[in-house]
Amino acid sequence: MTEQPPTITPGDRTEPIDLNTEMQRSYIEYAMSVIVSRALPDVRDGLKPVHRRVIYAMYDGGYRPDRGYNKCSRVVGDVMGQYHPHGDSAIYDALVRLVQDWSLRYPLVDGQGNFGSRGNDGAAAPRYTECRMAQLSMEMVRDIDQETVDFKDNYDGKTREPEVLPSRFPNLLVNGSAGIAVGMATQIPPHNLREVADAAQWVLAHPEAAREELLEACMQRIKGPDFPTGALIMGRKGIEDAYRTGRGSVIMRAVVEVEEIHGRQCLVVTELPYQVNPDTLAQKIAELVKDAKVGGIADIRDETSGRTGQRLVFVLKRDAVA
Amino acid sequence: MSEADKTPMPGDEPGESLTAAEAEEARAAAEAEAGLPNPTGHDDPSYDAGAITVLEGLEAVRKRPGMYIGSTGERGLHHLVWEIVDNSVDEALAGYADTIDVTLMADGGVRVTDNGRGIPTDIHPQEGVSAVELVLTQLHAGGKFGGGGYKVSGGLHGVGSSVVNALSSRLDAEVHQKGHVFRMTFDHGVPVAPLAMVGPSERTGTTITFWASTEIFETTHYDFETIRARFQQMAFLNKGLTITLTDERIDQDEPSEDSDEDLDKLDVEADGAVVEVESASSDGSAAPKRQKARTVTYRYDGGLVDYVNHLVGSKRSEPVHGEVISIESEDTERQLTLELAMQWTTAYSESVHTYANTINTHEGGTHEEGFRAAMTKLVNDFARRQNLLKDKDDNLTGDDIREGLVAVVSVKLGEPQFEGQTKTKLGNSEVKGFVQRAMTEEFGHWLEAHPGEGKDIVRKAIQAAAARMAARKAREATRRKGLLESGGLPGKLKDCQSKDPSISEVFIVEGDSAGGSAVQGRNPHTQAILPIRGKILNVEKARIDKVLANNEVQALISGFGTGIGEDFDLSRARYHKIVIMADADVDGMHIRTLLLTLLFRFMRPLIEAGYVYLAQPPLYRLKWSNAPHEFAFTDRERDALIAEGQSKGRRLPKENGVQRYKGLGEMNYQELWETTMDPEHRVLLQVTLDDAAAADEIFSILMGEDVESRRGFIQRNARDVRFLDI
Repeated sequence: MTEQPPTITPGDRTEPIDLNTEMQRSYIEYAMSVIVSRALPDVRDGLKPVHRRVIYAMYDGGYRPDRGYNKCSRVVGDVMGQYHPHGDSAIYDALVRLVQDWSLRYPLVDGQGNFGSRGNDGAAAPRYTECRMAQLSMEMVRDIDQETVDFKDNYDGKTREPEVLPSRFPNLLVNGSAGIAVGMATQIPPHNLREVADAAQWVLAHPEAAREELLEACMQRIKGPDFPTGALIMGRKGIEDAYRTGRGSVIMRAVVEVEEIHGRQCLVVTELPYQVNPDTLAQKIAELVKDAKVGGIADIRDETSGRTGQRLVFVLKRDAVA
Repeated sequence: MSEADKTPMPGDEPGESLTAAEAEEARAAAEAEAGLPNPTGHDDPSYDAGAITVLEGLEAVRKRPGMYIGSTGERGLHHLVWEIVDNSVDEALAGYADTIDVTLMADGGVRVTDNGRGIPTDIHPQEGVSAVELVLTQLHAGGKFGGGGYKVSGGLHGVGSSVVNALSSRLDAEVHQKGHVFRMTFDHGVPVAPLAMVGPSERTGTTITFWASTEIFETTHYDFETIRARFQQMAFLNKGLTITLTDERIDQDEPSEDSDEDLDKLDVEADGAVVEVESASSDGSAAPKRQKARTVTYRYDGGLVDYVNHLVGSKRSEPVHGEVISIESEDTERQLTLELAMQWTTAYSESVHTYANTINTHEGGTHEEGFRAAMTKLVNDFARRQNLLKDKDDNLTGDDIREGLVAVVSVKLGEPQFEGQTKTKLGNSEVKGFVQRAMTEEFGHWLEAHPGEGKDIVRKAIQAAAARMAARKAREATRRKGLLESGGLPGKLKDCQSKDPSISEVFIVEGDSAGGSAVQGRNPHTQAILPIRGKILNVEKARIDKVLANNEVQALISGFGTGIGEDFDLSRARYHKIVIMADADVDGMHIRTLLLTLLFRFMRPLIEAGYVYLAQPPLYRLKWSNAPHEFAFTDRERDALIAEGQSKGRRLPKENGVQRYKGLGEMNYQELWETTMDPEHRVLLQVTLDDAAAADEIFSILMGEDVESRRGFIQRNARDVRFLDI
């Protein structure tokens, strides 16, 4: 031990604590921490703490779009050591998501290497992959040194980190967010950057607009969610509910084409709803076919590749009509 | 309002009234002696007959308050309120009162008003003073020792109003009776003047206002939530009784307006329209934080049925059958009454709460035995008659049948006898047969009249039995596996040398990082270490067979050695101290709640026996550059140590002078030993179970399936957070 031997406040005591009190106290602290600073995004920059720290650490460490790529493990190390005292895998998972163009409508990190697929394939280990900030991320941190946002001490008081990023665009709407905290959760779909910018400009130009007027103008400009994975939104009712009340469900349908391959009729799924995993979907349908709950399917093949794009192929039986 | 004690003590003398001067002198003497070492210590040379003190009347109460109200802490303080309110409740039990108003006043006083008969105001034939004065100044004076006063009475907590008087700096009694208002004031238990008639009145009732003595009590802050919960329970148990609680205090610590309203709404939703909750404006005195008085009113015309609905509502598991089963029965000859309400839910745990004369009998007793015996027999007979159990099938056990049962059993009787460690076990043997007969008759009828619902209940019990079999197999599997490997102990457990459980301790630590420090830092003679990986299963949301299949849970169970559920045997506990040593961060707290859930749901006797402790690792280290390092366990302690150190000329390094520990793995093993594990220096928190019914509800809310009530809890308590993680 390198330190001097410490003196200790004398103890040798046992104090009673009521189970109910202890449970309530510990639980509320856990719950509030998860709600306030873990699972839910800040409305101003649309980021959860781990994402904010990743972007700020990359900016601070000079992993910028106009420079070369750096190993992800370096970024993870910077984030963990300086700002985020949690496991390295949690940080890397967050970073990987920021790269995936099927997870984020507008990726905030530019990746080099294998960052996984929409199915069950994960990203390569951080010692292989490389990354730098995406051009768009620079807009998240622009003017951060002009006293635009407040800074606070990091977890060990050795350095400081921004409480929120100055974000030049409403990232919460643009990239959306999903999170399950304790007792509450959020799910915000991504939107088109041009539409959101248009609406934001209208709002800035009409500071006196009444709430109702403002809502109508925004809804006129923002038609609905814009998912990075395409697919069809069925009906506008859910969108309107969500925009007006904060609560609404958008029902989505995959895009399916009928093709003839080697003389067999096939259904080819070229677009899947946001965050639907094609591998899991294929497995589930295969189970239904085995249990004879769905008929007419002879084979299921995933022909997806980087060059052909999304292709989940259902080969139909000869007597089935597409 | 009734009064005083109903536990006559041996050697109870017909006391004589103290004059004011005598009492004042006695009080002064008592105060002078308080805090001195025991004056009758055995090596005191002047120990003779003259040294034996006979404590008279209320002086004894002031001198040894613990004997009468348990403690001088928060619990004892609230005891004063229960004592007075119980007397009003007794008046309601006897059928003379239906409304009780309790006000927590801004100046620290508590006012309890009822509309009963009022304490008798006439002069007592033997004592020569008014009955009001008698019951407020004499121990063991009261209307409950026989004769026309009361048939049954609740408050058996202490010795009545006189104790409250003794422990209050001031007490005002006001009695409305026979067309007049009578008033009397006491100062530290001593009458300021005799009972006086001060005006006409058209109503009857008693109002007692008291200010608990700040000299006796460590705290005189009443906890609104504690009192509210208790009054709600009283209202449930006394059908039709209206209890109003008003909080006029203005307190910085109170939650904000918003969360108050949330609380109020929640009550209304949970309990239906009978409950009125309102926030009334107080008289406009400008308070910065809270300008309104909080008022809650409870009145349940459905009584126990409402109670069961409330309990089921807080669990939010689906009821198995539609209506709450309600049973009432009375044996006028032996003065026994039974009220009972129950409903089966899809939950996995049983929550049966029993009361005798509205006292919560945690340890059960004869009424619970009668209830269980009848229930098991009736349901098994019904299952066989309906052919749900075949000839070759075993009977369902009581535990299977009671899985998911929410029931409240309340008996009222003339002469209750309480047994057990905490005097919360009913001992009257006649009650068992009475409850059993009433159940057989009424619940038997119900089953015949509702065969469909009865079948649902049986099916639920059969599922429980199947799960029990599966769980037993899983348990046996863990045991057999254990025999091949190191005597049945989990591989990760670093056991201690001692085989004597009374001195052995086991530390449950989070993760291998902390496990390493703990193993190196421990005293291997008595201290064992059991590292668990990550967050264990939330057992509140899982069925027992799944719980037992979990590796971490298996390690904990076999490490403790007691078994669980029906196999549980406290005497086989391998350690008498089970210390949860989680990191001092919010995930550590989560792990702590998960472990406590496991212990509460499956090994509750460990908590009841006081075997469960929480370790207190330090939160901060002050790295003095010119003095030995110091540790602080709270923010306040840290600030105090810094101020003290700096005044003594110590210096903190500029860089990182105060280290905030987030994980136990950050400490060297010596530090962990010295601050947290060494019996000479550590502070352990012993987990106690004060109110099992409340704990049951809290575990359901916090760890159970229902998100709505969890969110409600978070919104109400968000302000109380001590620290947030970053």
